[in-house]
Amino acid sequence: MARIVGKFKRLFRRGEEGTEERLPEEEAREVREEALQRALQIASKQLEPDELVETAKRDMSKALSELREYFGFERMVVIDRDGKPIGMSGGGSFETELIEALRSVFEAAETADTIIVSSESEGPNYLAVKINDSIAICETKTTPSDADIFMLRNDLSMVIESASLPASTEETDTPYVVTDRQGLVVASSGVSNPDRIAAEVSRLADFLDEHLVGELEWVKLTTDSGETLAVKPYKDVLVAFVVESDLEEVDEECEKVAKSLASSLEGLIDLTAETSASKSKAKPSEEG
Amino acid sequence: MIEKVLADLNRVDGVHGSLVVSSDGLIIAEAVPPDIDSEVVGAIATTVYGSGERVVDEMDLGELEQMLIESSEGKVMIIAISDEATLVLITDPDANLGLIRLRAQEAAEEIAKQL
Amino acid sequence: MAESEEREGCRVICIASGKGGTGKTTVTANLGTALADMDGEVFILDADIAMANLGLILQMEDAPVTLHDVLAGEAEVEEAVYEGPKGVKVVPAGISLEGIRKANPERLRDVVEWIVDQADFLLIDGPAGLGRDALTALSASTECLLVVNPEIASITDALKVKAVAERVGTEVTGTAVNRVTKDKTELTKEEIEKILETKVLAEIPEDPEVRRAAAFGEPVVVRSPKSAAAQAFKKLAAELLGIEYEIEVPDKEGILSRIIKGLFGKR
Repeated sequence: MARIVGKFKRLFRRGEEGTEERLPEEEAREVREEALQRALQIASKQLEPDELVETAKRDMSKALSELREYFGFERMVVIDRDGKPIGMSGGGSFETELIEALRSVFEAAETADTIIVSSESEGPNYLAVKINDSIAICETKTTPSDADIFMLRNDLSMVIESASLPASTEETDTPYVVTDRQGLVVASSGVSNPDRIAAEVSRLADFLDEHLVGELEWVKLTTDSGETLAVKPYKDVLVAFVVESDLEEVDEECEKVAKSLASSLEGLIDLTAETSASKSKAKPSEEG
Repeated sequence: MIEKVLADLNRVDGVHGSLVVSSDGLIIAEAVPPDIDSEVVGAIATTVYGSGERVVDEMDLGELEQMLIESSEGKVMIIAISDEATLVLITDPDANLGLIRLRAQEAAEEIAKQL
Repeated sequence: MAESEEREGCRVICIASGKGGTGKTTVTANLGTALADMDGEVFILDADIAMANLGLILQMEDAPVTLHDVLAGEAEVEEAVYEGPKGVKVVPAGISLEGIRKANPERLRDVVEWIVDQADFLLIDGPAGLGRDALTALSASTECLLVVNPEIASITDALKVKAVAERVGTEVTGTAVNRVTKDKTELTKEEIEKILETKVLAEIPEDPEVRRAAAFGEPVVVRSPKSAAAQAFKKLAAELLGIEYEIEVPDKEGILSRIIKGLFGKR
């Protein structure tokens, strides 16, 4: 009897705002499905140390990107004992003063291996982790937990070990300097004063960007000794190198060397990566 | 005459215009189409060339002789004539650089004699 | 009776949850007691400074002598061992594990070694969260048992514990799902296994007997051994021992037996 009455009640329940009678079971199932999907998604984003090592062997910056995304850092840089970046992710460079300050603290407090710089206000937080001779500096919105720091240190040491500075171990006869757009040296070889060159080259590129119509593609400086300093801009960096050739062949030679340098630097810097600025505008698709 | 050298240079395939600039950035001679502001070009070329000189000096590569700036819209070549003057060429984006480099070098040497 | 697996030496298991409030202390106390009841020497190293809960359940007063005193050279290890129900032995840490480790890593190792020499099981009741103490507890153990509730926040926190455990070389033996009500919104055992990629060793039901037992200052496996929760703890202990566990059907048929059959029978 109650069931029939119930059915009639439903029939006559007009005027109610489209509330369909849902079985609690169905709703519950949906809630569970959603939770399950969310959990599986989070689970799939877990870092596998072994896979990370393999990635690092091929492409250190990609491995760093994976680490950066997992821990939710805004950006990250790994520097060697001389303060030279050996890998970075997230676009943009850290202020030189910050890097120097962190290096000084590690030097002064010899046994320290972690520095956390935090801000109560809107400002960014920084985490610096010392791993042997390298220092990883991360910019983060939240203060990392002990577990995060532990895992980061663990995974980073594997990554750094695996990557083992491909750019510097690559024996190339071509002297070169790679600098970011702020004039900070990213990598160099066969050059005695890369910092000055990086500063000059980035200043020159900035000036040209400002006054030139179109996209800057090359700057080539040929001297009376038959050598040409070539500067090629990529999205985030400038690569400057020297070739020796006759005037008629110099442009071809530059193209060749640029290609070869790009492939040997591939593991260190993603020369085709979008800048963080352009990335944050368009939501990045999941990396395969 | 310098203008003649420039005119001959402009006839090379891909060359859009050319001018001779003093180390102070002043125009000594020019042969440029109306769409090129020679004074602006001269000023920028002087600045940029000076910057280039500093860089090659920093790297101990010798004396800067030619500077080439390539953009998607065109190329600018700056060639030392003497300590006091440079030759500036503007070319199309797909110009044949090899030939232009040689002709420009010859022109610079020619102008040097005349200065 | 199925054969128990041959085990050499002591198994050091960290009971970890990442999130607080999963009922880890209840699980540790009851699991420890059940293990002690079934098989020999079981020690629990209580790494949680706020010892009250464990003490309450295991009939322990505020421990006058703790691990801290031992390491300060003011007491022998034996003095810091307190016996609980069914012979389970509890060693309270007194201060944070990290504090102990930093002050004297060698001594902590010595104490753990002393325990390991005597025991078949050493359960390290790690603190909730993933701070230094939790990391220390995990790295001091050879195995980890995750304690979760069947809801997403608890599971995703457990993922983090698992990630840390893997990096310290601590094997994640399995998961104990606590406070199961079988509500349709809860994640199922299979779903949890899929997410955590780890076997669920036991599902412990939400059972009023647990609270009742705690009120009497006893673990539920002692107070109400045939209750659903107690049976789940015993099953968990059996799983760890690698032996079969036979459900004891309570004398009264009714709701209780339906819960148990629902848990352990075919769904």
